[in-house]
Amino acid sequence: MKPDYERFGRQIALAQIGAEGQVALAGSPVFAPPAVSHLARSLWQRAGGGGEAIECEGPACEGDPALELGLAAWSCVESARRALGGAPPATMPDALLARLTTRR
Amino acid sequence: MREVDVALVGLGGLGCPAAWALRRDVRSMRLIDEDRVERSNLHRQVLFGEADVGRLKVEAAADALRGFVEVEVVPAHLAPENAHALLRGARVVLEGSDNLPTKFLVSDVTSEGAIPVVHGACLGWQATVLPVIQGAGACYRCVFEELPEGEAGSCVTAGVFGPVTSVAGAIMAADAVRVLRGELEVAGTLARYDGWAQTFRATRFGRREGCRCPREEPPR
Repeated sequence: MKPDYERFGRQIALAQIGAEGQVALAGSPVFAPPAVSHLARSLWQRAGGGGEAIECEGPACEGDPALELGLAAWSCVESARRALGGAPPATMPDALLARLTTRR
Repeated sequence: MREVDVALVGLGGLGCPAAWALRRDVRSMRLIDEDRVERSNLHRQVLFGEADVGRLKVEAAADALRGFVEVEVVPAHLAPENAHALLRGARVVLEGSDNLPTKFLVSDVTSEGAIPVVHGACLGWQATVLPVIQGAGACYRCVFEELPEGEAGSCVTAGVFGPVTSVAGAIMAADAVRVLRGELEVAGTLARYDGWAQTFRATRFGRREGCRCPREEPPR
């Protein structure tokens, strides 16, 4: 299977992805907390990921748009690391969670 | 130019997610970008789809945002001759351009006009965000000093993982919300996110001696 170079060329250019990695993403699910699983799935598919979203634990974020987007996108990055054989699973750093949180 | 809550310079991988995340927190946005949507944009520019390819980015983005906020579109390249006019009246500027001359231009113009600005940048798996409030911590030139000579890396040549830009855009949006609330604590605090390492660091910078940015404290 050949990846869509026109659409994903800037990801394929990355040493950690390449053409094989882009194909691996297409066959991989995104792992995301329930509150953002729909959004994470959308971002994951946009990046060429597979269509499945698997729910996992994560911080509460309902009603905080920046945190919702940040958490969904972070989940996609984390899922890519897993799909590409990167480091062991990580949790969102507390400092990043705090920076993304705008609702008191 | 009329008054707007937010002026976005650049509707790329940073401006698109930032605008999307801000759509329920602000009343009005000015969108500034001269480019048209290309297929190579779609993996990271979350306001656009296949049907938008070939359209002006500001028009396609406005269609995605209308119904949430008032949108003013400016299909123009921000340049020294129009920058003051295009940024005037904004309560905060979000700078997500893909080139260093525009970043320094936005820094200088917002510094002169005392307009708070949130700068964002992204390359590969890494992103940085620097919110600047004049007189409260470092400005862009305090941290990055002068425009470097020669070509800087860009995501065209170095690549970028799409969702990393959305993490950065979300941080930019959160910082903009704080700025609009008058919360100064985040000013001059450079956020650095490395997606491949999954690390995040926030480093607060003070004003650099010799920088041209204002010294005085901002109004409370």
